[in-house]
Amino acid sequence: MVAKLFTASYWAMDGWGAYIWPAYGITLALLIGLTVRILLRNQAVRRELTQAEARRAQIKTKQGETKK
Amino acid sequence: MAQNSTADDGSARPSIWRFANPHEFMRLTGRLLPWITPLAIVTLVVGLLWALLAELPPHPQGERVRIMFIHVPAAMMGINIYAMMIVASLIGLIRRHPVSHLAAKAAAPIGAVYMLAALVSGAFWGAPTWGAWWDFGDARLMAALILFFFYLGYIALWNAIEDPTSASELAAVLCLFGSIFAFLARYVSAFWNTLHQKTSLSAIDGKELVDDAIFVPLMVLFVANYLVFFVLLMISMRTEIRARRVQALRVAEG
Repeated sequence: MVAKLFTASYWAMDGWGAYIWPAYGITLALLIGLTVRILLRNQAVRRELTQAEARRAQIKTKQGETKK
Repeated sequence: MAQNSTADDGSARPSIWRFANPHEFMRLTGRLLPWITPLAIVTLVVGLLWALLAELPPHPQGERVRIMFIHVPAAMMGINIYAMMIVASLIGLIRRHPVSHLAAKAAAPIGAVYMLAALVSGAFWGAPTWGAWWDFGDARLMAALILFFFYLGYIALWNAIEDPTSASELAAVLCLFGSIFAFLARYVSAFWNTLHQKTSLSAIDGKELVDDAIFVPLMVLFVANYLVFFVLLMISMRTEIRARRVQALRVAEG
């Protein structure tokens, strides 16, 4: 089954390759782009949250010291 | 926010609404994602290899029918994700669960990408089959295009309004307006003659339209796309919940 990947006739798809491959390529590119965007945003927000929580902890410590 | 309903004997009974609690949601999805993510990737790879490498039985469209393996699941996801957003928006408006609005917000970019993929792959299928990349007179194509614009409008509305409560409510109302186009994109061919075929899979007059050799990999790709959607949705919702927490901490800082 995999051997046919190395034949030109497989990629030609009976002459319809010019329609089939771009359809698959664009769809996969869109899905991969979406996934990368979601993962990058997730990473950025996680970083922001860590920083915000660290700042909050610092403020709480300072407030505790001022009360003493 | 109700987390448990009370049974007749007075004991607390677990309720599905407890997952509307962001903490509960993060805990559950944190456990599910490590299992479902590899399953989604494997199913998608298997489905795509099956779709591209399998020997297909004789079909009137010849090799062009392979576009069905990506076009039909993409269109189905584009429409079904919108249907999910309608349900989430209604729950958000009626029961005031913030996670419902977040679910709709997180689903919108995923649905928009699926809808765009359906429009593009449909054009690549239509060009050699109908002799036209696009037909502005076709009700089903136009309904799908307008649904795509509703996705974009929904995303733009969320980004345009700063107050999350107002944004969620206005976007939910816009989402409900778009429901008619989700319905038309799916069913208009049934009662209106369109260039687009009436149905790709369902039996017409008891006659099956596709052979099992096409139907089975198509089902694998349906499942794969649902799993991919679930994974991307859960990650996006977790991101949104964390982003709200960051916003709350910034407000508290002053």
